Amino acid sequence: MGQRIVLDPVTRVEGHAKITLYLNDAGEVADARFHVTQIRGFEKLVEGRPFDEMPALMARICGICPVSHLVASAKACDALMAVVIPETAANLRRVLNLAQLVQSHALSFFHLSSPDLLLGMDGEPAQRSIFQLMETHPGLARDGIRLRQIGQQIIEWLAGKRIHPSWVVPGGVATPLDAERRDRMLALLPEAIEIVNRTLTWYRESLVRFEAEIRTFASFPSLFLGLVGPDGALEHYDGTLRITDAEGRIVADELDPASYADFIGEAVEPWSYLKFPYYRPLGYPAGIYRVGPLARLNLAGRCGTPRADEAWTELTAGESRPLLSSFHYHGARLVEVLHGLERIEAILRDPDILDLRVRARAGPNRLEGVGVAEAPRGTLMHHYRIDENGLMTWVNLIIATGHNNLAMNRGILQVARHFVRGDHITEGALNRVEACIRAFDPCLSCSTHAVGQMPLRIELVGPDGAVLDQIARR
Amino acid sequence: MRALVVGIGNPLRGDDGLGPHVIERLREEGIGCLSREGVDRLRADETACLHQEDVDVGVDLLACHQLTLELAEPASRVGLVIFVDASADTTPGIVTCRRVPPLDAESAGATSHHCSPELILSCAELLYGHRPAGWLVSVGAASFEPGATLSLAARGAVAAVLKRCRGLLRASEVPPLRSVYLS
Repeated sequence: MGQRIVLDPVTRVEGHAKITLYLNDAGEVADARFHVTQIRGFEKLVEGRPFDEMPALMARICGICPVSHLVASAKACDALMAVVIPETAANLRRVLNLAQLVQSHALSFFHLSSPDLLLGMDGEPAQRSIFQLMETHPGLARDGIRLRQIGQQIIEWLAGKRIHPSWVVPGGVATPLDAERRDRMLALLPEAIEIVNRTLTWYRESLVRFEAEIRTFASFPSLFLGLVGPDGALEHYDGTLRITDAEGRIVADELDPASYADFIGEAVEPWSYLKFPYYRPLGYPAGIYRVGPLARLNLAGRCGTPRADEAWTELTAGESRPLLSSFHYHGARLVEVLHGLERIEAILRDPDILDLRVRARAGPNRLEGVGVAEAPRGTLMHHYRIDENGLMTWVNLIIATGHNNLAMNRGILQVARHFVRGDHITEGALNRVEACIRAFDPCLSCSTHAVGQMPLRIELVGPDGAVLDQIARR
Repeated sequence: MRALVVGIGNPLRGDDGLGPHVIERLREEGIGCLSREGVDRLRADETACLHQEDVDVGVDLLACHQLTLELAEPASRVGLVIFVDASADTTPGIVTCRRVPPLDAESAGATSHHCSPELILSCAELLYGHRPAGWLVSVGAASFEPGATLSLAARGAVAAVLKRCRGLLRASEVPPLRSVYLS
């Protein structure tokens, strides 16, 4: 192995990471690694804590998707209590979860990825910032801000605050919903749906400019994993797990999420703090699979809400399904936002959503519990064990982004082989490597979400240690 | 004319909580009236039925962990924005006050963890058609360690910060301040 190119840090993603590209003596990319360079340690930090503190503690894992951790953690606690929560509580949690989907997908699409989609991947860095986007596409920038704001507003009205709310509790939710707040939420939805429809229109029209990226951004056969509802449609709160393959065939279905460890293993590599989940029957690393918006739409096949189903059909017209290129995560996000808004409306229009019975109360009745929900980035799993006093003794978390770790590594290798040549580093080539990661919208835990760019230096080092080339962003 | 005072920081990280602390002190003095909810309600419909606590007395107060782009629109609806923040680059306890300049395009690529006052106000103009006057009142921080208490240096600076904020509000001819119901 001759030379090495390092991208450190990766920009416009959430969290800290770097990418290393290894070149052979012919200057071709021979290998690539996506290193997650931060460690949070929550699985150890919570040992000894009372289990009913877990939702509030787990929400602190992330500032972008705290609701996802709240929901998965609360479900694990429901299992420890051995309760079935009131249906109204489940639906309120659903609305909260979907509102987070809306705001998180809006952040990812508009703030993190749209500079690439609209301003091109080859321009100078100063021309590819969110601020530049505001100058060239102010309407779109306003749409992105407003859509995210709507999602966050629903979260605040339901749960009391936008970041790290404590409203989701073991057994249900803390307080019921009143008619005034419900009506305010309903009033926001038409504007949000219009924004998504506008965005889908220009996104569909823009796809023709990205044929090379669509071919090379983590476009390969893999399994897909996610929750589905009882009718096989898109599901984000409950349901069972389904796994499908690259031809769309169901590999495993109606899997109990609590038994995830039977079919998902976790490998560890010394060069990254992020674990490598894999599908056990195929072993590591052959058991590579993807989760998240594209995976969910691939394996469900339909959304179950009319506007989203129509949008997905239009977006995938002429394409063979399932879609294998991870570039299509962008479009899948928009369709999921539309679906989320439709489902929120349907749930809020049910009079039972105002029922006052929103919490089941019990002490610990089991020593082990698993909670699984779909976070914006994919399937999120919280697995807890407690002692007889209800104190935490062991935790295992499989974060949504972790499921995609193998796929992200393979993806950057694929795109780097196509766009990077060892004798010359171009800004566009390196941006495409990063953009491939951004398509997955990884949440490397809230440390950074760049709306522009961060200082970055990339060095090309020869086998004798000499720096052959370097580029820097200031 | 209306004004917006934004206290920036995490109340659980020592002196980083100075901004939100100042907002609470301003509320206790009777300055400001609109909760976030009130701001949203008015923004959604200016003719909406208002509650007692929504009555406009000229100053909106907002405490937030960090600046986000969502602040650009409410900023565009006022004539003056005062940002209050702790600073790691200033001697502990020292209060500085500077106008928020137009955004330098070269530095526009800030991270959203460092979404600056300059970016917010420039976005207000770029996206919503109006750039308010802006001031940044900073206090040198002694510590950002976990904890809900301000350091001695930061506590000692609060009176000066409040005086500065009141002075800026008066100078901008914001309507008379009066006590109102706070949600």
